[in-house]
Amino acid sequence: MSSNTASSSIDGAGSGDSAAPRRISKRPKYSRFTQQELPACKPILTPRWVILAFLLVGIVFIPIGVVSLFASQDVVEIVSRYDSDCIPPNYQNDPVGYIQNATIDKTCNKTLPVTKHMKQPIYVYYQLDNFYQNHRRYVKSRNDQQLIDGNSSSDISSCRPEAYTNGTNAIVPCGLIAWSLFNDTYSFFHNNTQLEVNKKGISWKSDRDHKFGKEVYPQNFQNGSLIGGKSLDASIPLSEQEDLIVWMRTAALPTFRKLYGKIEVDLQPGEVINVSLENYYNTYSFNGKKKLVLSTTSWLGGKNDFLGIAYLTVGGLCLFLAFSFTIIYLIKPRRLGDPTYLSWNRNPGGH
Amino acid sequence: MTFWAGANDVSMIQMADVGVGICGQEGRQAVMASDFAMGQFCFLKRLLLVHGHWNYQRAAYLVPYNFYRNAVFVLMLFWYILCTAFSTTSILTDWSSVFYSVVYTSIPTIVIGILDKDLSHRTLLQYPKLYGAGHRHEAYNLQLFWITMIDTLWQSLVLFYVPLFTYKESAIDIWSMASLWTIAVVILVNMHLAMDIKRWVFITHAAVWGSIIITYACMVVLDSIPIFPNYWTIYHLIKSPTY
Repeated sequence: MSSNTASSSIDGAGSGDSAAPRRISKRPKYSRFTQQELPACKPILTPRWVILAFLLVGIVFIPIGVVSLFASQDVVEIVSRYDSDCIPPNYQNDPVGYIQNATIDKTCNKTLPVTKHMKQPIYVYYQLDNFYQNHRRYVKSRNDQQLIDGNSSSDISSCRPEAYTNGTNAIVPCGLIAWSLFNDTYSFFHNNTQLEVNKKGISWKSDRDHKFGKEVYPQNFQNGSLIGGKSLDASIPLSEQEDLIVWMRTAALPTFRKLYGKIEVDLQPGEVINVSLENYYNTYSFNGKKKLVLSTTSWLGGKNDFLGIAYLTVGGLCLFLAFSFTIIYLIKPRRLGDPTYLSWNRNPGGH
Repeated sequence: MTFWAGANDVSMIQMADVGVGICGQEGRQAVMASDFAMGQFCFLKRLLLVHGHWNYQRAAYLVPYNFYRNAVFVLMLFWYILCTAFSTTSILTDWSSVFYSVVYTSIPTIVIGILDKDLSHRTLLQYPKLYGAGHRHEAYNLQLFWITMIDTLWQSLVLFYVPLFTYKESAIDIWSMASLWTIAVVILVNMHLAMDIKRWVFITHAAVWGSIIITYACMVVLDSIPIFPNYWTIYHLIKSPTY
């Protein structure tokens, strides 16, 4: 290649002390990058590598899957759906009427049997089904500036329709997310002694410090004609209203759980927990479901068999593929560099 | 393709699909009208057999790859809409979406387009028949395109549903899921490219693995700005082994 250049006598790569006069050369300066001669590695996918790779993946994934599955089985979870049970018999056909009637007592009692030993802390969640906290207009309906800064309490852009009461007074915190705050409450009793539920520290620390202000207090909240959920104590600043903070971390999926509190005693198998709950929140208008969940955690989080099963499946599939490739390689080997596989040899007449 | 040197051939060069001109004794008019210009006639062999072949292979790979890269991303957003009562909530924040195309996944594409070679120049010069791969539509044809699209669909489904099932019925929030899906899609798209690179040079390594690292870095930076809704999500997520 280099013998074909038109002009130039001396190589342009910087030899400075030649005695002969240098002709002007238009040849670009040589470097391994510009001449594309960088050292390179060209891996080729031979059967041996493929089988090895699949074997490796299988051997790594299967133990991970087994460990994950065991961790998930260790988690003890009690789930109890209560929205359908807690409607009194005379309102079975009109649950919406029942929930919207403020004079009816909404207290409901349920029993939760404990089947396995549960170590503290036991997390109490409320789970909502068919509740689309991820709807576009809902997610947008908040104003973060107002939540953090006491001076911006009149900043209600993007909060409609829950922005003003009576058209003039700004609502703090504004928006649909805050307006629809969940307001069922739960009390737990065991052998007639109340189990204390710790409601401190249930929200993200970064939210308490940086997204919800210490000087911001609720104003005009739930003052309108339509009450969407819980009302807030106007003397407690937003950074300490942990239920609000937890609720405003909008959930990703239509079925979600939110942390209500933590029980810090162990529960033994065979015990029966009596729950006295206040069934205020209206999920009947949209066929939503409400469930109360008590759950322990493992290093992997809550109860979820999916990860373990997924790892096991992929690992098993890889081992199966490695095995079948080995069989094919032994029965019908294909030589590396066999010219009969070149495309013009395979279709001799074809274009 | 046409190839000539004189000024009277300018119109011929312009009519051809690919025009190659020589800059030399008869001036530069042919060069100005042509797509490629050379110094000598003997360079033509190398231009065609070596650079032409490489060009074809790279373009033929990168066109479906770019469709794949963007389609996986968009399909992931689409599957999410099915879970939001069809209300077009975008799972990614605006900055994340912009960064995806520009920062997270573009550099490896460019690097591969410049540097990847399937065969060395010596082999290509020795076996001119390899140049016929272009004539025979071997590297890019309708069948390959549709296979790529079906692969894209399958990959986007797996990409979306695996984290979904992992975090189903849990207390995860929108922006944490968004972080997870963003990282997943970037890693997926870059690994796909990595499996197809035929010739690894250190620049290629830097581009592919560097993009993944840059993605993490950008997410950390974005998640540290309190105004954004996804504040602190990456720190919170990384603490849990499920991630």
